[in-house]
Amino acid sequence: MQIKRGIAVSPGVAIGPAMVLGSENFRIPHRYLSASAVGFELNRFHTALDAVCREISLNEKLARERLGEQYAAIFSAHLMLVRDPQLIEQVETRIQQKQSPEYAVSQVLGQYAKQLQNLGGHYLAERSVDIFDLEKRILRHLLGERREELGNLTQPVLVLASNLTPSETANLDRKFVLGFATEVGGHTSHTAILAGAMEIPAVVGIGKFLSDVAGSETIIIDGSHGVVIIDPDEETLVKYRDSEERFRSHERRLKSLSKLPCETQDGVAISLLGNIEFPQEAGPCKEKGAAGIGLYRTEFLYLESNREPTEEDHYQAYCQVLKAFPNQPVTIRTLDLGSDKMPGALRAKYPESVNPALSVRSIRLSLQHLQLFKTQLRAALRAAEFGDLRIMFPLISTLLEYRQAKMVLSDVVEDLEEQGIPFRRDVPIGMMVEVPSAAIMAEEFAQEVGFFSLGTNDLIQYTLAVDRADQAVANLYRSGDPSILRMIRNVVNAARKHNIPVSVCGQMSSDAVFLPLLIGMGIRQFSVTPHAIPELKEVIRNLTISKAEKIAARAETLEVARDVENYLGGELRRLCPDLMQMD
Amino acid sequence: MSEAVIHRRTVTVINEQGLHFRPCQLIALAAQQHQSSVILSRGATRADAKSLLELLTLAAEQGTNLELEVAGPDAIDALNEVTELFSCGFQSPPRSV
Repeated sequence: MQIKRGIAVSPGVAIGPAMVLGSENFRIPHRYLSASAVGFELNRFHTALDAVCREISLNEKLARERLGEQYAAIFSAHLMLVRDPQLIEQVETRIQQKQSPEYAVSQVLGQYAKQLQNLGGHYLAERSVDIFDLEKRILRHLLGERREELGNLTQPVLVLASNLTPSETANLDRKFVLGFATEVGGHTSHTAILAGAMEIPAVVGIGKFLSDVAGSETIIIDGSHGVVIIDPDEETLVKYRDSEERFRSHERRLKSLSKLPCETQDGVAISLLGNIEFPQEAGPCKEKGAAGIGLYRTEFLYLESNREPTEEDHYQAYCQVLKAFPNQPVTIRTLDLGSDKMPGALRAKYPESVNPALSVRSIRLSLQHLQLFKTQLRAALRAAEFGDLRIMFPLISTLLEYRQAKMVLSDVVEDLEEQGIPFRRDVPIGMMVEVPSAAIMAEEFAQEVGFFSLGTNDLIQYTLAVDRADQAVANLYRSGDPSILRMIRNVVNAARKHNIPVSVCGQMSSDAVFLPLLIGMGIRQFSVTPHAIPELKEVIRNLTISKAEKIAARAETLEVARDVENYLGGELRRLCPDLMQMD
Repeated sequence: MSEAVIHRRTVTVINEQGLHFRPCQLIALAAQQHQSSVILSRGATRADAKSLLELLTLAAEQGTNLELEVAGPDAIDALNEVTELFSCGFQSPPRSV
């Protein structure tokens, strides 16, 4: 039994057989487990060889037709390598000794390649390149098939991978993928967000661990505590089966809350909206009881393909979300990508930045690429005809920046008017407060903007100078830091003074521990990860405003994050004992 | 003829390039046509002559002497065919002696 720790991103317990996915750079599992799998793994090996043969035969044919016989001969030699009796025999022996086909192939071919390199001589050293190429081809098929298998699962598995892309995650078959764990990734990675939305227990950011796992070995993923257990003993299994069951009944109970009103015991309504990234999430989000979308991240439109999304792409996606929430607010955040994640067409233009968080990203990128920005704004204004759409600009750090963004919007309005294209004029325009400069200047901003949305993830990162995805400093990232509370206080006061709505859309608001504090500070609207809605609603229904205000007043006097968080944890335990039992 | 009998012969690499891809390929093709085991060795390095991968590791240049060992039901045929490849310097079709 081995225990690995990572970041808990989607709660719940999953127990089942491991399915190990390799990555692009072919990090491969060393072994697999059950003896009954020998036949299966041998078969996989031969299927991959057949596929490589077909590939090379095709190349041979093309070479013969286009270049002539002597070039085709190169490929016929490669074909012989694929069918080499020693290669096949040695790999088969290793598979029978429970090595994974991937590992066996790379070991056997690696040995030959090394031998050729060591023999000296230019010619043989070059042949080792042929052998490495062959290794890559075979591995690509072995691993590639695994990736494809994800789409055609027939039995339940826990997926273990170096990384899963957001679209791979979005396409996971909920019926068969019980949970997943990845080596890379952080709290706020898109994969983590999607896992939460899909309610698949998940742990990310474990660090290198795949080579310790055998295919089809039993694994436990505890997505509530960020723990992955490989090959658990009987006692551990019993314990987790029990908590899996408890988690399920807890979920069922929370689900029953979804129809009840979201208000405090003294009758004050609190709106819980959902954060989504993909239009497909809108439906499930509504089922959870969301009163709208408070943060619609539009990045996937830019990252999904290498071409820039057209106005129509944007328009269709927005309309799809509005359809799910015809009479409720849907707040679209304009492009929030940056130098670490650039839309395809712009990648070449911006060389890697030394400090991506402080470089060209978000609204800065939009303001440097007006065409890109205008396309998105046009689509949003047009879609707004069909619902309560709102637009917010991310990463605003100065008043001038906000004014520039508004100017671009006015241009777009003028264009649409001139072209006689139908759109809505009175779309509310707001901004994310996620840069300390904006939080400090909240009073001035509040006189010009339609609404504030506190983006706590970036606000905390910039205020405390900590990148939460960086393992070395992640423990310094504390939502409960007094400096953060003071920033929030300043923003809430400014919003109240100028009578504009303020909501919180960062991960902090999805954490039940901070909810009484934020309500006590005067916030009445939250946009959260959809799966957190039932739990947060339970907290709200156990709370009174005067209690929340007392909690906030006390928390705001504490001097260090640890004390704030401990105090809030204790208060939540008293408010909702059932909820805390789950931890 | 007993299968346990090992037939041995010494062959010499006479072609200019030595045992490159193409010659190795021809040896392996010829060896694979037979049931018998075909081993080529250079000093302590032994190569399964049916395996292109192993033949390459002999790194035999022009003038190298290799030991050919064949055992099996069609050993004599295999021995002759492989020897012929060496003696004609891997030129096809093989010239008659």
